[in-house]
Amino acid sequence: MTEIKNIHKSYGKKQVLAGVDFTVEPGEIVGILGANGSGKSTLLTILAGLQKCDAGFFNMEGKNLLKDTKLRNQLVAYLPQEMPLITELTAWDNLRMWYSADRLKRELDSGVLKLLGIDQFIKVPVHQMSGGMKKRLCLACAMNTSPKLMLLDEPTGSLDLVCKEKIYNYLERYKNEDGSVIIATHEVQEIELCDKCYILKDGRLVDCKYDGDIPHLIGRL
Amino acid sequence: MIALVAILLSAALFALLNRDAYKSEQMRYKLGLVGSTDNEMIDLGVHLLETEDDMQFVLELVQYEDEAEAKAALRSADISAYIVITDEFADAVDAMTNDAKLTYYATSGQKGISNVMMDEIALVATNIIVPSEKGICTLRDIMLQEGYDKTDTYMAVYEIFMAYVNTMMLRGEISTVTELGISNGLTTPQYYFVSLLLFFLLLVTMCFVSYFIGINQAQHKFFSSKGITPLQQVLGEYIPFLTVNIIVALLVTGLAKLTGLGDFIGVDIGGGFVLRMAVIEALFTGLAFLLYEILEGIINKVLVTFLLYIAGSYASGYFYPRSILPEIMQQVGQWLPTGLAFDYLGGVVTGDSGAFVMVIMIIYVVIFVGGSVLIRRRY
Repeated sequence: MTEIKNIHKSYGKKQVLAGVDFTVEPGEIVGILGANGSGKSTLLTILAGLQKCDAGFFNMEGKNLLKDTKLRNQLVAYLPQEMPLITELTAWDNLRMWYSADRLKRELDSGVLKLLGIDQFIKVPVHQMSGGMKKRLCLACAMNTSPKLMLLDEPTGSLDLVCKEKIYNYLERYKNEDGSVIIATHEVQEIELCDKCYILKDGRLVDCKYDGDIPHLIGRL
Repeated sequence: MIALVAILLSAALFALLNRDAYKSEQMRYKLGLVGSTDNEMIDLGVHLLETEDDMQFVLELVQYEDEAEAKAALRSADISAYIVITDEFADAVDAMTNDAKLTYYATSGQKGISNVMMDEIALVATNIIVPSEKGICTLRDIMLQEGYDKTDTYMAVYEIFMAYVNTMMLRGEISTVTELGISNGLTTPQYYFVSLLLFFLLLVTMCFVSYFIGINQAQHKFFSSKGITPLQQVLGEYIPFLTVNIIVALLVTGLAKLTGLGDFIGVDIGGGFVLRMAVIEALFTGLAFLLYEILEGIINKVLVTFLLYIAGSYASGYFYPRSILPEIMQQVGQWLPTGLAFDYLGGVVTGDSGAFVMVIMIIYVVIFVGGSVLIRRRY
């Protein structure tokens, strides 16, 4: 189980996170909703180790991953909103930064890269790819350590429905293999994918039971 | 594309230096003379230099009204050096004393010819004084014939001889050499070779930097989330960036070597030159890296970097010799990375080991890379 406890973060006098607590079970997808600037991305970057929090714990396998960075790099994958790809290179070259050549071939034949459909555009330069291809490639790069927890920051924003569907299918599969996911999102489809949802408001998480009533949800943000 | 531009630039420079007009200018050394030559002894010396000395075949004397005019001619390489003949020197010559000296101004690049010039001037002094020796002896004989007291005559002649010997002994120090330099002692072709080469290499860093850094902050975030530290990220980008820049520098210097340009303008493009280029590339790469790391947005990166390069190059004497800039700008320019690079590469010509400059440049590189790491930590 992943346990996030009492995360605090302030920028100067502005408190962005004022004690965030929640848990994520294996095989569970947790959605974090909130208005722009509410602190969703800040929470994910803290969990990914990109910035430090003022206080709090992030426990997995009995260890505080805010301190054990080596273990965190193995267990946690983070996908930022923007594309962390080198656009001049092909999909193969980008993946080679994270996979050995042998493993890359194996994964393309029957592994995670096959599932994501990377094999169909492995030799295409990134600047010639569609948004969906790029996003799947980003996901493939993030999955190199076979992580147990994925942190996704608005993973399907601005993608078309077909691309979204491919990514959702992959997330479902990952979930069924006991993978945990935390998604910061605005997308209704992603909310529907989640087992649990929270709204981040005034630096704290509030339970959110989404029943398809969008106006009601908007009112709570 | 870069190689093509380098070839075209090298070809243009080679053609410029190979012109007949340029060659004709190189046929004789021109020595400027500042000050009055009305004094009989000095006039004799000038006459000897122009007509009876071995140097007459390679030396041309050019008279200038004032020193500023001669200095301008030296900086534009119209003359190789100039000598200032002061009234005090003329008086000292008349009195056969060594109270005043000629001042010989030359660029460091003309050091070789300076030594020859000094020897020649000393030789001219000898040519003047040897007849004087005969005159003294003749004077002694006449005095004895005329019945002057023998003891008094010998005492007087002895004093005159002592003055003569004293002058002879010090004739090698008849002039002092002051190095002015068109720009830190380089001749005009050497100056333009060094400055254009450095400016070209500076601009080349702008062509490659976008491949390595700064375009996509998401990459840095992603790398950090994978446990790759800012230092590892910066070094991982800086080293290939430096490698590419060094390859370009090697291509350009290789072309200069192959075409014989280096030999033609008196720049030894050997191992020492290449090593210095590598240190300079480390500096330029670090500078470009830091600027691109600090600046946000591709337009800002290109425009601001270009403007800073132009300003730095100007202050460092890439477009005009630094010596003609205001004193304060000279002081600033010599400590800028571009100014240090100029002095360091120019040292190949002037024979300066450049050890101190190299240490400062390495400190700059550490600051640039360290600064880039600090900025990268924001991701």
